[in-house]
Amino acid sequence: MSAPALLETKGLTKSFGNVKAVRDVDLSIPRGSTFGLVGESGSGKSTVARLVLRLIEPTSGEIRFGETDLRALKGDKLRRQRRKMQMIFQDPFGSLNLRMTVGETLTEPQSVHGLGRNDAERRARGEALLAEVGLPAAAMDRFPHEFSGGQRQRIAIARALATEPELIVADEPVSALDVSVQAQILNLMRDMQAEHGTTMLFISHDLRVVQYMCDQIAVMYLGEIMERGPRHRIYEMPQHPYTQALLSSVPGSPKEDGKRAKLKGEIPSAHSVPSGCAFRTRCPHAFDRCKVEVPVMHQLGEGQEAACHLLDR
Amino acid sequence: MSPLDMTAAPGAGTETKVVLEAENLGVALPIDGKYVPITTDVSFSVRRGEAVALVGESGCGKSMTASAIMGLPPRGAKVTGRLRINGRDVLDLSPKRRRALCGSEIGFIFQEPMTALHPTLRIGRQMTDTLCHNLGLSRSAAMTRAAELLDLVGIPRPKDILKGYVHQLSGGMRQRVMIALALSCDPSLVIADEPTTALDVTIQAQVLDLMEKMRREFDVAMLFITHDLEVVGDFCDRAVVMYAGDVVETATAAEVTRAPHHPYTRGLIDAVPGTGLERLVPIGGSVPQIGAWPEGCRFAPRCSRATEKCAIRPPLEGAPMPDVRCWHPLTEERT
Amino acid sequence: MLRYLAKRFLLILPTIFVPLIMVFLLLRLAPGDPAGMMLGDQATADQLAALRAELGLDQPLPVQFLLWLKGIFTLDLGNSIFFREPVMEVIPRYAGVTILLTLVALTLAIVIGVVMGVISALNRNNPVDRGVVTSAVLGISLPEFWFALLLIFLFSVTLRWFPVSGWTPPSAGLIAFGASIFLPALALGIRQSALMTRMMRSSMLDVMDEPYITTARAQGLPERKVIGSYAMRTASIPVLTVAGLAAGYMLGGAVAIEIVFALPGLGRMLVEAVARRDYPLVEGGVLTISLVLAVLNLVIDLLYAVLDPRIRYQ
Repeated sequence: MSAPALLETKGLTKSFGNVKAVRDVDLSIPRGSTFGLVGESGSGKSTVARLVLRLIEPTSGEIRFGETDLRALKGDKLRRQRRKMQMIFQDPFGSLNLRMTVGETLTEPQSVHGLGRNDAERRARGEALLAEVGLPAAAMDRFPHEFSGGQRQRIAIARALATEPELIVADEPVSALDVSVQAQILNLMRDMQAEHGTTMLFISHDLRVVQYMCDQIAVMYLGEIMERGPRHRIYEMPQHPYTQALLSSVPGSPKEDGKRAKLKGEIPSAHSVPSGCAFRTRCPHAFDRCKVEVPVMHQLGEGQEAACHLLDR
Repeated sequence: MSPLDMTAAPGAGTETKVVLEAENLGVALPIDGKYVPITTDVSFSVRRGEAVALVGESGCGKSMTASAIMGLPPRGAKVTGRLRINGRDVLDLSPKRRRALCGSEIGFIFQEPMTALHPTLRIGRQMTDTLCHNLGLSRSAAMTRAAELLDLVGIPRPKDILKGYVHQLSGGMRQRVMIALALSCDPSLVIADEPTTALDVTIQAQVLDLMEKMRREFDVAMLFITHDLEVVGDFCDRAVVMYAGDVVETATAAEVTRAPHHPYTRGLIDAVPGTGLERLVPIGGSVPQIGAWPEGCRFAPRCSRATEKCAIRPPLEGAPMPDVRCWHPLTEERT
Repeated sequence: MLRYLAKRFLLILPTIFVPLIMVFLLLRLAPGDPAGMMLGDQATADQLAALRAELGLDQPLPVQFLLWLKGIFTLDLGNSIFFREPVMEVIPRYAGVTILLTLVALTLAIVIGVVMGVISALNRNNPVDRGVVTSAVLGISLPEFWFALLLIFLFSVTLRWFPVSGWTPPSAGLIAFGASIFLPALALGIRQSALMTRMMRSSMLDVMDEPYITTARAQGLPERKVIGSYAMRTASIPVLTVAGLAAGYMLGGAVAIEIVFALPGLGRMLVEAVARRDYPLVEGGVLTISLVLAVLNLVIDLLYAVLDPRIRYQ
């Protein structure tokens, strides 16, 4: 494989009460790449985002950030680590402090992490960040509500960049935006990444957006990874029945026999995850073994892996 | 004729009738004591058996147009122009007679069935209220019919569901109930406002399949409001593209999604990530605020083809191309 | 549903026992000796000691409390020191008046609150709405006894529609009963009705903007039905929550109202019993009021579950 991993998880698991939201998730995100996590609601993808940033504590499993064992960090060390990991949320209105000017929003994280020698320097950096995300320096003294949704997301990106992070976790960053604005933000994020070499964990339900943004992709269902691999393998030769169904459900995909739906039924509740393979209740190919045995990951070449008993044959 | 016991093929032998006709439909809302236009000059028609998309980004006025057609615009709204439903002018009808069209002639499917269905009334009660009121059925006859409708939209154990509440259903089931409710009184027009936007992609496919089946079985005219051009190409026959309160282009769905003539429509297509990885071409700038539309062509400030001529507002008919509100429409075929 | 009921029943216990413990302690920590009050100045120390022993007042406080608790479970609340007869016989003579007064006042408050709130919301920001909102503010800020006097002056003294004071039990005829309870109940309920009006107004305004109201309209249902059975059903849920609190305030406010209207109720009885250091009667009275309040709140919670199935199925 290419570059060494910046972020690695092993057996990452999170339970809320007796609900297992995330089960045994292994991720390995090469430095400087964009890693996509796709899935429908209830797939646990947003929980993974919060786990790797240690916004919530995992029930079990390992998280490594470069050489650091993230789970072992506490207090001041964790705080310093946070400088290197930033998050961009779906709703910039909810994630920006509405009482802070854009300038304060951009300089505060710098002073918290001791970046810049004085206020003037931090402010200059704030203005540079704004220029980088395509906003005028005059925006520094205005408040979030004075901006449109797309502009607010630009501010959120600038804020995430303010601490010069090595990892950015973006959770549905463009889902709330109109398509014309969405394209602006996606391009901006791609440019940012190219420019700074930032590693990105990109979470989305939108398969088209993930395809555009990500080098590596993992498909999640009911808290587990069903399939993962490089973009072209996932989109051109998906091996897991769920990935196949997901891709052919995208509007505009060719319809066999005039039907769009490839899957019957809906995602089971996380309270009652099916035995064996989590996907078997909706899988068109399910057979007896799927009921009793949890499928293991099968290596399919070029780093593509899928967890399905069909691949045994 | 009840669609539940259809004998004849839908639409057979009859020439397709225009169900909905909007002509220069405009909605204005009072803001700070002044009427501010939200939509202007919206003209299009929908025929029986046809699905027409009303496409555009948020704030373009597509949902406002839908609520004006329902006769349920926000408080204090002023609706102008002409609106004909099944050949009848409906804008001058009394509120009571206007309301009588709802449910019986026009069915409505909302985006969020969770909030669009009553939280504390049983599903059965909501359905039978509608059936009893519009069709004059008895409670028990209405209950039987409601169960048939739920069965028709693919809901297992309809009798149990009728006794339940919306919060007990999954997202896909809720939208099926909503569809059954909208179709319950055999309307000739169904307006669906982003009916699949809130659903997961695999469920979205199921609901689109169902809507297509229902559309054919009930032989309705369907107005499909959406922001998703892929859904338009997949589901609709024709499309009406709106921008800043205006219709900018009307064409077949295939034309709009593959070879549009208005620069805005082109821009929308180029902004959506496709299967190719080439860099997206976003539309520069942002949608103008309501009440701050530019004079002349409203898209001109964001348009790469704009010239001096665009200071004059292009008409929908009478500009270089019919049904394209643009002085410089795209003529070359591009894919 | 059963689990919900069971949970609710368990929650009653603290609402009864916490006020009881407080009253028990307050009475005993306050100055004044019931034995001395009963026997008068001439009593000897021996006589006092004997009576204290008879009343159990010579025992340590925890023992007194346990004895009294035992009394509750055996339905023996002791004898009233003043009346010299069992508390269990004295209380019922007074409790009926207060319970009826509170129930009628609560019903009046809910009906007035809901109706005025809906009228206000449907006339949002026009003179009718402003009128209702202004009256509600007045209703909240003026004390109950003042309303009572105002009502007596207006309806009893000037218009002579209702008796000035006194009590007619329902057994003496519903019309006479209604006439005697209407003004006191109105005086007691008016303040809570003003609170409920405001609550209903804002909750109705919220609900009228809900998508399911648009759906009801889009289904062609007439506006009367949309408001009456779709909007009010959900909008009145918060009012019900307030009703539980209101019942508590009313049981307390009943004291003033019973005095103004000369009604033989628990409130008046309690005031007199406190003045006479009649411990057993005070404790019995408080127990009764706590019980009434607990039962009312239980009924309200059950109504809540009827109105809102989301609670039932949790």
